[in-house]
Amino acid sequence: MFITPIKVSEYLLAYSLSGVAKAFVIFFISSIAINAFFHYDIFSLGMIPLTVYIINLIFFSFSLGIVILGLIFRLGTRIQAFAWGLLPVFQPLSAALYPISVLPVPLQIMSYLLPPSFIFESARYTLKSGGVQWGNVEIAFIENIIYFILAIFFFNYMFKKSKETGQFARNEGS
Amino acid sequence: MRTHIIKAILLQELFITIKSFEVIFDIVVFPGMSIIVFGFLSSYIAGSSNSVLGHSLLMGMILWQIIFIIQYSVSVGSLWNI
Repeated sequence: MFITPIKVSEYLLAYSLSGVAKAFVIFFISSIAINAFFHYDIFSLGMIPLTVYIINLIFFSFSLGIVILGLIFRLGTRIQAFAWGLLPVFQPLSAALYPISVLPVPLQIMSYLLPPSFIFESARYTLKSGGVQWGNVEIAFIENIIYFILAIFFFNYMFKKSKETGQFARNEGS
Repeated sequence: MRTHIIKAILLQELFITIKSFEVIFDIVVFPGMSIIVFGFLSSYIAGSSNSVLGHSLLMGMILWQIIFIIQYSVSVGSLWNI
């Protein structure tokens, strides 16, 4: 693809948009199915909290996706399993299904480094009491901005290194 | 940023997504199965203790799928071209 006059920014933006579009399609289908079969309406969280949570989760996904993409460009397809296999490593730490407090203390510290942990904590609070833990949302937002900037720098560095070492040319077909 | 290039990649992504069993399984079938498993698990928990706990499991799974699908799309997209 990179024999075409495409910019890296266009490439990243296009794949990010594609990811968001797919995620929204699956999200709406899942929401309808869960409402129909399991009688739970995720929209009962409220549109504002849900939107805030989803935006934060989207930015975390971008950051992680871009970091993995950088690694794939730099190290080649031998680490392609990272593309679908690295995220599950973060799942126990991001407290998607249980509160952070159930984790052992060392893992809690690692959990607090992940923006989704704060989002899931706030989402559970919304589910229970209807409010939003804006403090948690702010921390997640700040972490997301930091990670997103770092991810872009990391990707650019890996992309540059990939060209310098010749790995970019060895990535067949690119 | 040139929109025609972004549109071209999006079109390529659309064709790959609807034609590739790998992608369909990864972003539709596996998340779908997870949601079904967690749906029944939450129904079981809601029946035995409280519905908030059951619903929080379902909510966690739905929101987690967003992270998975976007990260997957951004990272795996490159593999179709290299």
